[in-house]
Amino acid sequence: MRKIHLTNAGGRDATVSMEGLRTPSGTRPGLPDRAVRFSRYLACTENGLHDRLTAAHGEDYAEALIAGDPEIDLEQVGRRVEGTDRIYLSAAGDVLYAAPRVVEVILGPDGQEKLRRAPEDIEANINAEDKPIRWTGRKMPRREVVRRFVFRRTVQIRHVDGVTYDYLYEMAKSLAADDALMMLGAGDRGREPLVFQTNGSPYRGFLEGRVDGERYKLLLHLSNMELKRPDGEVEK
Amino acid sequence: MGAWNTFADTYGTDKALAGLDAEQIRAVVEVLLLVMYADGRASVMERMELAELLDKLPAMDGKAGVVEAHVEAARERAEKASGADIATFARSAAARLPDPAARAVVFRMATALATADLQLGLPESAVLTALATPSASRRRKRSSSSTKPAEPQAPHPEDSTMARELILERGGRQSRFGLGKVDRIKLYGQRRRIPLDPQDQACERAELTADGSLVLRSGMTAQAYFDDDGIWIPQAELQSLTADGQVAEKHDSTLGVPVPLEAVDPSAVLDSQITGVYALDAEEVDPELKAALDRGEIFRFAFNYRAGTNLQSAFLVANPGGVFALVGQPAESDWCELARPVVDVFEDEDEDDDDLDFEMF
Repeated sequence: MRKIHLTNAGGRDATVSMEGLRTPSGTRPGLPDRAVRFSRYLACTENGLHDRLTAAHGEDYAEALIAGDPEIDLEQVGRRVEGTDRIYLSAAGDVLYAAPRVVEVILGPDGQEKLRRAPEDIEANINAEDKPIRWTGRKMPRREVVRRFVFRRTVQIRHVDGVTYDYLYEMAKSLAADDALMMLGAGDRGREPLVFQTNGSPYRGFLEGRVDGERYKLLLHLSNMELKRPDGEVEK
Repeated sequence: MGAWNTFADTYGTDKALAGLDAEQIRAVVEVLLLVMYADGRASVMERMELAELLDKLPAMDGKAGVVEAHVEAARERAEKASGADIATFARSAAARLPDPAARAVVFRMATALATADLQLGLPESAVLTALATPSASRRRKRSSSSTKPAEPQAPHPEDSTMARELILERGGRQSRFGLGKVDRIKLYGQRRRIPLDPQDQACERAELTADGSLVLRSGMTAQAYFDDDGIWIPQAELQSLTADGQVAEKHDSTLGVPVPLEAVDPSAVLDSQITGVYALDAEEVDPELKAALDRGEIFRFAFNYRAGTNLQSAFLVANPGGVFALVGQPAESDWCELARPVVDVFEDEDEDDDDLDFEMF
């Protein structure tokens, strides 16, 4: 059970449960009358890579491939590849035996590098013991919010006992009555985005409430993208 | 050898390309090389696919020379030009082709080439999108005024093959939109973590097999489906199956054909997981639809970018920044009741009592 620590309109905090929503399972490739399995296999060895083939046979090596199959190592090609470990090669192609230094590069929308810096880990903040997710008081009508933000994820917030049922039901009821979503934020003033796992994507959270008699739904809609056109691009 | 090549070329020429002249063949070669080098490298699989595709072009004196002459130019263009420049170049090369049928065949060739190594990167995808998007001049020919009421009409012949155009129908009137994908990277850029070697050069990511015997570099592996006897199943034989093993129904692309709009409550958008966003360029818009969008109304329509088995829904919305289509799939939530709290399941702590942890000392 994943937990989220949040406050209500009165600033009272509670730790409750959350889970992702179900989406329909898609189709899978296969045969209706036979079982098939997906497998990764070795297609060529290093000698079959473009750089090696170019060095051995020149830029136009297609004829060499047809004539002599130099890219096929009969001892290795076709071997199933399972359970590998990630490694790094230096620019010269040598295996590194120590962890590489990592640099974080910020690229602008045009693909140009804007900043280069040492990476910093960003910790998850949705279940911090001393800093609950804040009810910011910033409401946005339902019709407006879906036209301003793109929601790629939603998590459902659920009670874990009778006390938290009352707590969440009241939240859902007040939001449903307003036909509005409440922005939730992290940090002391609720201005920081929500991070669900270490170095995970930061999201803006909008809490929606629905009630049906004694039942309720509290849905935290997550967005990391405004609904707008890229800079400089105008509608034709 | 030359005569044999000519015979093989003539025999293998795709009928839709049979009438291409030398200039048009050059345009096809440019498109294919642009796709191949879009990601800055050409894998062996892509090169072999290219060789097969070139055989489908009509015989032409010095075809190999034409290819040779364009290789360097294509590679240089991919390395130096921005994504937008490459897209523009791809579009202009495709515009030199004589008719929609030839453009459709070239688009299929480009798709086969882009996916030859079983990887479709963003740059390749961008070139394909550019090829599939009608050029501004072609769009202008068909649109006279962006606010002129649109009369119902049959799909344009190009739409069924190349043009990626939304035709939305409401109250018997059609509106037409060009569409371009919007994502986070286009809006905000991106953050990348790059490992550096001791000389501060970017490292190459690779894998080591479980037995430590082989270093796997990019391009050394492939993936496919096999039956229980280990026999490879060609991609063309595979079918899309549902969760219960039935062959899934195939749906045509909804682009280029009229699709009805249905007004929905904002909750319909919130009950969906949005998987794609398109910025729409209005070409011909029914004034009543425009007024409804300006009022904040939201519409749902069936959406399939290309033919396939997963028919999705999209939502038509507008804000001061433009008109957008949000593509998504339904996401199910359920009602919470007092009697059904979520119960935390704790693991039995006694279970591991025998496994004394000496590392803590």
